[in-house]
Amino acid sequence: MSAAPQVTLESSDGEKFKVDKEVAERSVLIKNMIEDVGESDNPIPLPNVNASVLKKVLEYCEHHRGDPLPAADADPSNDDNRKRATEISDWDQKFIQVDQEMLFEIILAANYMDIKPLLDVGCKTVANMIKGKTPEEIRKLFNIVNDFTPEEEAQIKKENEWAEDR
Amino acid sequence: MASSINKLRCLNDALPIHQLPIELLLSIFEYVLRTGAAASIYNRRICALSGVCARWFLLIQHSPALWTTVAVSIKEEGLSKILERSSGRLIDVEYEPQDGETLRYAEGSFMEPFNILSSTTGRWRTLILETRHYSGDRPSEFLQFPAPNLERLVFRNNNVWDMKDVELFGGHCPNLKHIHLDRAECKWSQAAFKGLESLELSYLSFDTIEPILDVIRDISLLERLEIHDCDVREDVPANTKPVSLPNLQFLRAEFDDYGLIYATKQLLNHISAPPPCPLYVSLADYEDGEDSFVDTFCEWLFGRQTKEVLEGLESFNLGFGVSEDDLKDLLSFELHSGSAKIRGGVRAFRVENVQYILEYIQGLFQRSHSSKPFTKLRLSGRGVELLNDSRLITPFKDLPPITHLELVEPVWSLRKPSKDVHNGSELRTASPFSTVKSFLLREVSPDDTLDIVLGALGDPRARSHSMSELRVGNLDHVEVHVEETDFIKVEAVVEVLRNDSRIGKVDLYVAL
Repeated sequence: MSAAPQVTLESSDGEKFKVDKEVAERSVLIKNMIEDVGESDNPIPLPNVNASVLKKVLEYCEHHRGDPLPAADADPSNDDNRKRATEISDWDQKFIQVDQEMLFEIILAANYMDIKPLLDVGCKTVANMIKGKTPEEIRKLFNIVNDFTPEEEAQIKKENEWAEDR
Repeated sequence: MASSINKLRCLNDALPIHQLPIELLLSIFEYVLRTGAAASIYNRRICALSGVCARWFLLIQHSPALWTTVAVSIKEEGLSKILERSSGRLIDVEYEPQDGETLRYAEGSFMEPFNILSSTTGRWRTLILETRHYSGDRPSEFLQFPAPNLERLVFRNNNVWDMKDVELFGGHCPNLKHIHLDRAECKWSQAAFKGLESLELSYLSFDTIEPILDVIRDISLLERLEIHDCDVREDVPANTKPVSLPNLQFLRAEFDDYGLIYATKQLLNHISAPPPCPLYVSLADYEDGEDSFVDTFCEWLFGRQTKEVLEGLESFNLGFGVSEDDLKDLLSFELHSGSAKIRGGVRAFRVENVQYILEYIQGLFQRSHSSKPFTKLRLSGRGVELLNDSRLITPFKDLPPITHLELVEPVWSLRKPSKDVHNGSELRTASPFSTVKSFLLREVSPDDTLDIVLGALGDPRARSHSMSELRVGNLDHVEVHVEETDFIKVEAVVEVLRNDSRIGKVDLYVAL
């Protein structure tokens, strides 16, 4: 039995990762690069992703190797499709429980490498962290400081009044 | 002052969240704003996000796509700002007084708050309007504006409006695709209906079903027709012509008590649609004569299917939920035959109604040549009581073996355990669920999840054994679906199940 074809990926800090082509091709960016350049022994450079993040992203791709790719024409009114689009496995849930810096790095890498399911998981996780919180709680969550001028502060206060029912 | 603000902004710029490109931050905002929110909640949430920092405030202010949801009930100044920030885009306008809320505006009039929006009607993509009856209101005059971009109209009321002389939007609504009229007696033959893809009529009175047929007769593109809680007083005239709806993909005909049976029958006898179109009807509260009604229902649904489809039935999904939510409150089923699907549902509160349909389906399976019968059973809400009642369970004993059982938001009565509850082996053979190999639980609390699975296995560790008819042998697969808030607690439960030798694989899914 012949071994599965492999490709080498090179992170921004020069670390090389040899992975199965099937795993690397969860990334549309890499899939397109392989199709454009053809198979070669040269490492594929990923200048926007450092080794620690790439390792994490490849862990995700390895776990989801063989999963059906998201269908562009999936009917959203279908109950099962909708559930599939909004649910993740406990493995994914644990995978994404990382510190904020890593979470945003993963989102950036998924965006750059064009891995839509991972990008969705990342963005929805951040959205869930925000949901139901007051501005002050959101600031605390992301270490954001209140940087409004007094005039802007007054305007914000007014905005909040506008959104109230008459 | 300016320099200290600049320093704070530099600090914010360096944060990990602000390394995301604008389009990603915006897509996160969209997730936060759009999840299941009425327009008024949406408008409050957008203010909360804007109040976090200057960067978010500016980004949100200058993103017109975030400002297309308009809750008409908010203050005038807010409406002006939303309209300004939506920057000419099409908007979704919603006026829905909350239940129990005392309307502070003009003693219930819906018309006055709309005045400020009157110059924007050309941009309206959706109008959801719910009125509380107020003698000063004139919806027939209000709904006369030209609506060149309107795609969806939902008009719900707490009292019937007589609008029989009204040509909706003066006939100027070329893009209108979806209408739901609730307690609004309209002129049934008019331009607004001609291009519809979906029509929903509720809480209306008709002399006969003829006006309904006349409306849909002219809608050649109609894909979805829902009629529910409507009265029909008399029989349809004998010479009424049938209607062909070649694009229909969903038909729901649930008339009110008066006319429940004959109006549904007459409607079904006058509508033809392609075989894949599912059918949902009601038998709720009806006492006698279901036999012939069920015949009409089954004839409409199954009589149109080809011989190949009926002889090749290979899987059966049955859902039974009794909850307050509209379509959940019925017995629904799905039969698979190769690539074909037959879907339908009956709203029924009595076990006999369920039995009629199940017996019919059972007959279909007996005549089917399929060699691999498979039954998937989904029980939702109070439908789970089926697992508690030997009377309800009887029809399942003669159906193809159930191998996949799914419980969704189960609600069931707690009962005292019977004496033989722990006598696992005897019950397993008696239970029609002894063949279940795959068990799925959705939206069940972590404690109940453990109890239900252990109870089904006849395990004495189960705290309650109220699902007396549910006994399974060993399970190949258990799947648990929970909300994110339950994740930590359910993880421990799943761990217990994963270590149980009677269960093969256990998967846990979390809703984001």
